[in-house]
Amino acid sequence: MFAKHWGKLSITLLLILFSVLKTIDYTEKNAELEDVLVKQTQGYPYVYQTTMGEVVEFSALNLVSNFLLMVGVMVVLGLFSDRYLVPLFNKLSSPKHYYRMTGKWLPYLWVITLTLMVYGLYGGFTAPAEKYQGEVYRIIYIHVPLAWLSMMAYMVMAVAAFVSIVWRIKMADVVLISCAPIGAIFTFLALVTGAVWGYPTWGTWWTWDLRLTSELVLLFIYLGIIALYSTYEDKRTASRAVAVLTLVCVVNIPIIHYSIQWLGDKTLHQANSVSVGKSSMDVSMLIPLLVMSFAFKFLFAAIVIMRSRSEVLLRESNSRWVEGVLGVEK
Amino acid sequence: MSFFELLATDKHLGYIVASYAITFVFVVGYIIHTLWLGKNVRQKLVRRIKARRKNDDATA
Repeated sequence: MFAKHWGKLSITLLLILFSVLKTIDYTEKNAELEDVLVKQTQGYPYVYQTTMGEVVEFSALNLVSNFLLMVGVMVVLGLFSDRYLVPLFNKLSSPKHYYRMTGKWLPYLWVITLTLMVYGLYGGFTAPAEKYQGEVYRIIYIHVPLAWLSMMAYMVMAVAAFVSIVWRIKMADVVLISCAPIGAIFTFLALVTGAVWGYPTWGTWWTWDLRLTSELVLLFIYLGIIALYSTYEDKRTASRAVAVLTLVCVVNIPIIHYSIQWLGDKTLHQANSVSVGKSSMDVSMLIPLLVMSFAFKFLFAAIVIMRSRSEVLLRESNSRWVEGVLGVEK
Repeated sequence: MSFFELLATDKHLGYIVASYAITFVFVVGYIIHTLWLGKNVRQKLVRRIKARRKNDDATA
């Protein structure tokens, strides 16, 4: 019974866990809100401003709608996981099918990336200036998506590393090592654009703040992973070593994410303007930011697919299907 | 007033242009590098396969 429906059951359990965690998160926010609540923002009955200046949105409706959404997603994914999702993952774990399927996806990914980027940049440059920072805040439209992506890329690598170690799927190794260089570049760019933004707003290019330092550590981790992979001649051994290192260093991601909450007002880095379910930004500024964030995610996917396809060809160079792909079959 | 109207006057314009330019150069540069890498891998594999066949024919 379980063996037959393992996909459906595991996805449903994961979503139930996510839904419970989300409910706990909302309950904690409610408790904090009672202590720091100072005023109710006019016109928005469920939006409050805290003593820290943070705008928090809370309502029972949010909680119920969030739960219903999760139930809906659970039902849909549960119904279709065995028929579509599990076979899709099975197919993607085969190098031959991965190469063919992702080749079809690439043009669509590029079109979506470019469309979102043009729309996001236009929205970002035509949005009103920020009250305190003026025009310079527009760096947010590249800095924040890059910073989010630097962490997301690492989480993708961590999942691939876990899959590689537990199930020994070859494609997980390929995805893991293909993500590392692009993750390093996004982290580097997040640090550089942050420094360029920091100088006019903080008066310094760099400070040994927890958020900045942990992001710098993330860059070193990416470089370490790339260096470790290149030291081994046998790619299977290299992949195993890299997977272990990736999983060990994943501890840095929550440090980056929660550094602002842990340090409170002791940090120079500003508090998160956007997080899941809430935002202190005006809609005219927020929408271009979210659009740019999705544009960078699609860009990441497109580049990772390009790199992984080359890696697949190299690793499978003795297979017959590769000769067909290269047009040199007998 | 939109950003485009402030292009010539804003004192922070240099910082904005610098951050966008650096990102653009690195991202586009990396895409070109990835395309070059893909082409290079395919050429290398074609050469390797042809050399292997030639070697097999000679052995036979």
